[in-house]
Amino acid sequence: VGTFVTVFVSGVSLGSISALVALGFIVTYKATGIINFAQGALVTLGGFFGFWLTQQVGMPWWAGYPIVLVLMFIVGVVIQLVVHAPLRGRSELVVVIATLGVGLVIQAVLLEIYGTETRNLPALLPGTVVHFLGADLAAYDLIVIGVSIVAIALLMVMFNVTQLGRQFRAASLDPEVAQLQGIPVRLISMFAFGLGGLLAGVAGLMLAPTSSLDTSIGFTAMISAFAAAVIGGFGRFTGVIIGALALGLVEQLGAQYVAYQYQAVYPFALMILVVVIAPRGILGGQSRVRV
Amino acid sequence: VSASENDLDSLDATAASGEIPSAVDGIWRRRRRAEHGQLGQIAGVTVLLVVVGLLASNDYQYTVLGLMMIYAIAGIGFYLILGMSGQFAFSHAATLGLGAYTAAFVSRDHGFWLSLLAALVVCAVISAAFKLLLWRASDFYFGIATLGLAEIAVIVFQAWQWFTGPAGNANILTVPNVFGWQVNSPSDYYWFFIGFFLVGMLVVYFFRSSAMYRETIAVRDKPLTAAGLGIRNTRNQLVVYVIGSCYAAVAGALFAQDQGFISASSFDLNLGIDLFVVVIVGGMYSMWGALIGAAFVVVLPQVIQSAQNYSQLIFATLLVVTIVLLPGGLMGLVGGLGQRARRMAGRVTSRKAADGGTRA
Repeated sequence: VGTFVTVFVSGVSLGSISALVALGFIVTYKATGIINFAQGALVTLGGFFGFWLTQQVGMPWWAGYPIVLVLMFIVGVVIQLVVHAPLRGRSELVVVIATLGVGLVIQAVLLEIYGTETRNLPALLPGTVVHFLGADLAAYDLIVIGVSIVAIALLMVMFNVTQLGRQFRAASLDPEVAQLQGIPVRLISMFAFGLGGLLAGVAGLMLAPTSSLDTSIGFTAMISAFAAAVIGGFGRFTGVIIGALALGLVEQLGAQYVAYQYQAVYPFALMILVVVIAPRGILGGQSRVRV
Repeated sequence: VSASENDLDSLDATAASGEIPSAVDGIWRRRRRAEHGQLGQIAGVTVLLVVVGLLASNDYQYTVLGLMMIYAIAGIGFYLILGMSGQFAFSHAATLGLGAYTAAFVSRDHGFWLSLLAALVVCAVISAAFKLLLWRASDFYFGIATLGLAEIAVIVFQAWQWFTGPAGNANILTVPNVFGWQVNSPSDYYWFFIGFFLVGMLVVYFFRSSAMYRETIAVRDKPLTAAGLGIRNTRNQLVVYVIGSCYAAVAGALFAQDQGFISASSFDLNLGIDLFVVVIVGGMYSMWGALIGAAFVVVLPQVIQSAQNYSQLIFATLLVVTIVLLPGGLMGLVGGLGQRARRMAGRVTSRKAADGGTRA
């Protein structure tokens, strides 16, 4: 039981980070209908902001991390102003490529500043171990899982219960009609990109300590997160959670039982398989993906 | 004789003359003239490339020019997929890699031409199979799936050593033989690649003058209307995707031949992004965008030495700036200027015609 619990929890923790990364672009997608391909670079940027404030400036994490989130929100809004607002009326394909370009710019700037060597952002509660059901669990894994649960719960409440969430959904469903109903569609787009950036900051701060921090860390995470989102049916929070957990477990099991040199292939193969068999995701159906 | 009859470029003017048969006739004449113009452009650009080749003086310059041609050939294929057909695909770099490794594998025992043929066939079959598998996937899911495919391809190139070679490194030792001409030096390769580029552009020319081209545009811009008109959208996308992948296959085989050594990391997402820059900065809606983009991506960092260190930053910034400020890319800039000049000329002639009309 002990080993199973350990493997299971680390798999869930891995999946939670994927889910956090995915939440960022899903929020943006839900409000604007645009998939933000800069999300991966934003995750990297969040990690490096955290490194900059806590390691280079020397702030304690409880002071530095909130600043990171504020900065990331601003970066998200700036991205909206640079590539989303001016491209109103252009095809969605073009907007998506533009967000990809912004991501590349962020990644290139980080590469100029920090170079190719890897950094280390220490985990919260390093080395602390929790005993549970006879298994030794890293406290950090539990923190990651907890943060994801809180983030997902808050988002679900925001989207499904509050007035703001209804406005979000209206804005993505039909921007023009929403505008006529007095919903500030432009402000909502800005807020959605900002929130996406903030969530990328959370994901970056959680992701960076699990491996070494380099400038490509976010892009790889983004591809896994895409896989999770696709498996779960794009645009649904519950679907993403299930997709992310499935991916995390598949990767863990693949590492344990199947040819290791192809380990990284399995999640992508699973994703392509899902798109082949169920082109709208396993739990999808009602959410229609444009672009 | 009214002025509008001479002015075949202006469709409105022809239609305004009121006679429908002459309007239709005008459209056809205009189209045929545009097609002849494209043939002239292809001839002109080929001459330009030959002149550039004659001006180049050392092996280094020929190597850079050769690489430019390879990017241009791959770029034409990507222009077909992304620009003409509007398919969001990251898999072009992976297809190029597949072509390169297939060519390397076959060239162990056979010559260049057979390896090129093998690369073409393998890439066409695999890309067709991939697109067929994703038959029901929407555009965006297709894009994500190609992103996954690109990741898988690099890992497989590294791990499947029987096919690719130790640690995904392959050497290519054959020398192409064209009717007794041994293609060996960098300058030889440049001339050789111009031939391939010319053939590639001629294929695009024939494609653009076919009904298939107009169907493709319809599927890209108005998918529902196209389906309503009896065009099979997904089949159309499949055909264009496979044709575009064939360009990647040729570019891959030529890349392997030109470099003599390939490794898996050459075909990762960086190459995919370079191809995006080639097509978008060059001009997504023009058949010449790929060549201009390739010149931009390959030659510019060599010319401006200080740009080399910042090439990634510069390309990424230019990608965004181009999309936001120059929707048609560099070719759009050129075309836009030409169109504006023509429109101004047209305005002058129509004003003259109007003046003449009131006087009469």
